[in-house]
Amino acid sequence: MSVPVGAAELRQQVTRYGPVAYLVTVAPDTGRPHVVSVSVRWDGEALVSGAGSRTSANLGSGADVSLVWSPPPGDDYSLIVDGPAEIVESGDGPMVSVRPTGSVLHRLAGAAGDGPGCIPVSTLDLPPTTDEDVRPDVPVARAAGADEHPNTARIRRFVDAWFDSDIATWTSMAADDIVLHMRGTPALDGDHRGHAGVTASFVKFATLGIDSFEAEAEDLIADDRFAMAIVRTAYQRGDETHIARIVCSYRFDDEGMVAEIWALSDSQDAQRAFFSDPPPSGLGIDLGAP
Amino acid sequence: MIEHAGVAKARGFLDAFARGDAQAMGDYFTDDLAWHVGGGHRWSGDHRGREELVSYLCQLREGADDTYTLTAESVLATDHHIGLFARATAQREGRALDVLQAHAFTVRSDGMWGEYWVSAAEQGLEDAFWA
Repeated sequence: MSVPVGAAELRQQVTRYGPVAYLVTVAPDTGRPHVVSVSVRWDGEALVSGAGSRTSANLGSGADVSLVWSPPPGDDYSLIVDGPAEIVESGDGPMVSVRPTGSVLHRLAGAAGDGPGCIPVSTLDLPPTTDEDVRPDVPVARAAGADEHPNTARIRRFVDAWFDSDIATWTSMAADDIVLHMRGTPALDGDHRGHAGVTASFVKFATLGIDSFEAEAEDLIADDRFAMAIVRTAYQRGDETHIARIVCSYRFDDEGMVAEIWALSDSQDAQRAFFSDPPPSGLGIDLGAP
Repeated sequence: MIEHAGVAKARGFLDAFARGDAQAMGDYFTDDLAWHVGGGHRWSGDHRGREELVSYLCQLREGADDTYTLTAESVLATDHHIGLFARATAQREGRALDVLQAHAFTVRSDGMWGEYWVSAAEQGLEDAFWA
């Protein structure tokens, strides 16, 4: 069951649940769902956020989407907002704009005690935007350029495979002597060399107790020798959330294989703190000599 | 392929750095930009402000007795970001620096750079250089 949410009430609920939500879109041709973590703010009567190229492609000239907020600590209800969405131009570039037409508070499965499963929230007569609703740094979505370098598409495929842990795809694009320089993530820091070393770092990541992880490239640029991806990431572990934009840098070798990777977060202290805990599972996986 | 205007801007910034022209370096950035330096050396971390950034850039040069050189290996640009891959070389106190760095700039709608990142592939070498 769920509980419905009203206009002024919806704005209050969005404020209570915070700016971070999941945006759910569906590919129009395949029906494949796509979920990304986004930072949301009000723009008049619409909720706007940045989005990556896949979200933009799914929306096309317009489509229905859902925004989903996780329950705040101690709460048993997720906030779900549905509505038609479109890509709009803003001063900061294209954004996803969602006009809420339906909203509910949806009770978590297995929540203790009694309570309605679904509480409707009204979405009519939304009040004007207030300053405190506005977040100035909402990321910008970009579509691929028509004249982009061929390596841009290659690095997009590599980045997608990387963040989807599609090891077969990324190893097919990585040099045998690839080096992954990890810094600022204490549990993973070091130079991870070769397919085996980098794969081991994936295994190590899997022991860190991360409940969910979302990443989407905001922009990608490449030439024959180098590539750069600006990636929005969101990690969730229990009640902890770590959201950051990361600059990922790539060097290609003479055969066009990815030979070197390094990255830098825009929230280095928070990243260091989030990744400083020892692996909770104690699986004792040996990363081997870097 | 026509070169993106951002490429020329990045090269202009490099020229300003090479001249040690603090005014010209600062002209590319917004007043309140966020900037991020990777690694674990004296300037590493997340910072804010154009004056502070220009001061850092000048201290790089002064700290290495004006030997700090950035040589572009590749400049990439879209309307929203610029990626500059450059080799950084310098000498100080008998130590030599020679690392590949990635510099990223976020381009605002007015063309000013509102965010800046710099990190080295072999960051440990840079940390040791500034130790």
